[in-house]
Amino acid sequence: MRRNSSQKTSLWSWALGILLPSLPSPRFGVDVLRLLLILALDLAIGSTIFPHHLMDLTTAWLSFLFISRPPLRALLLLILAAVTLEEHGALPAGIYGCSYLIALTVISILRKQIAWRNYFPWLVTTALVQGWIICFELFVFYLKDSSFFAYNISYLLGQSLRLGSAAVLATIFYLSNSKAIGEDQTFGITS
Amino acid sequence: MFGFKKKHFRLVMGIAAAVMPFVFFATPLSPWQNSGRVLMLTQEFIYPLEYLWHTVGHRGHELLSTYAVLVGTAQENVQLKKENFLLRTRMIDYEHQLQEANRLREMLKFSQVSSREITVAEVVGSTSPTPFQSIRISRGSNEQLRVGMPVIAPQGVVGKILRVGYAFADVQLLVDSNFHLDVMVERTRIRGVLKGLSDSRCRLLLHRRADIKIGDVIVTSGMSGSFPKGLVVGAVVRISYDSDNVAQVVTLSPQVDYHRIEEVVVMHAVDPSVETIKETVGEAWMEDVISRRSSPAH
Repeated sequence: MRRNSSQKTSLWSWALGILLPSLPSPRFGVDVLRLLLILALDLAIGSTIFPHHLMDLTTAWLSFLFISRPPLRALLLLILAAVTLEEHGALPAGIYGCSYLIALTVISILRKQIAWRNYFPWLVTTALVQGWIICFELFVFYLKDSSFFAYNISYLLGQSLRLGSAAVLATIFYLSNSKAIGEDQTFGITS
Repeated sequence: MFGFKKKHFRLVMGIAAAVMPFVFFATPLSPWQNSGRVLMLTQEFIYPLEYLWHTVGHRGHELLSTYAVLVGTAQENVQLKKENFLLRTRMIDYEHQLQEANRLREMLKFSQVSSREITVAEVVGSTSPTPFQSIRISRGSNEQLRVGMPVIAPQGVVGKILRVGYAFADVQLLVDSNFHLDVMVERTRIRGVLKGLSDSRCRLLLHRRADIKIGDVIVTSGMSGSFPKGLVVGAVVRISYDSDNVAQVVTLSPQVDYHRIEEVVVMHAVDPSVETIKETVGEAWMEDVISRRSSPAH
């Protein structure tokens, strides 16, 4: 019985180890594989459980990567995520590439000015990135169809839950890496 | 060299971030089309999980509805048997009519062929209700599906194929804001171009004197694109006038319920105008042009 519960615990921690972003930075290939898994979960499973895009694992994950990875690596991961999201469905080409790139640029400029050992900057940054993505999406939707807001009040209300879920994910990501964050403020990024 | 790159990387990224919105909003905000194999690699990685999730969910639902909800099944069975008998009788008549229609088509040398090759596919995923709507189906290039092929359901037009993977394809729905279709009013034969809208509706602009009323059925005209003539698109639910009072803005409600659709039929039809160009200039040249157009440099 005890063996069973310990096996369950180890399986759970193994799954969490794969799904949660980690610090210090693992190899690039590990980041790519984890991101692909998150994208698969988000697009294949998340979209059926939360039909109005209420849960956005990818944005919370990417904002963690934007903060904690070197800019070039973060850029490559951004391109991978953007292409995957845009190729899944009929969304305009470049919608995520453009919005995520702006978020990454702002974060990489401001990174050295922020004390990342505290929890609050992680929460605010993730929420702001998520808010920015929602606003950008809604602006594009409005440009394409100005009657969109009139017919989709439930979709608009759902976006506040999406923002809330990003804040929850940011908390989980911070708590799972709090020890590593406290040790090294620069996350090994020298440039 | 490496030091230079590190020093100026943020500057280059900043310039790219400043320029990219202008480039993005200068485009017609249309999705990726004719994506290369490299771009589709991640989708090929995601699809097995998507299919597995869909299958598990679908089978679970099926199991629940088959074994747990058996009340009234016997009565339903008797009713279905009766309906089946009636339909089989009608089928015999339909076969005769089809043969006759084909003979007449042959005699009149009609360009449109009635017996098109079709592929039945399962819907494995759909996107959120935004102006950009699509579904993912369980057939791809392994079943000779190609971009632009019409996708229909028994109730009417569903959309057209936007992107093809090895075992899946993305279908751009009729209600997507980038979808345009040449249609006509079934009763009066007036033609127009239909455009997708939010809230699972479509819009059609007609001349202000055009004869149209609520409830009119709109069908495909077969004049452009790969859609054959006469497929039901939807019914008129609202008629208004634009601000200049020049055109009638006709709102349609499609016959197909995109939230509940489970299976679709892909018609192996291609755009006749594209085929004519292919015959004139040669297939190799045409494919070269398409590949050059779809490459990232263009």
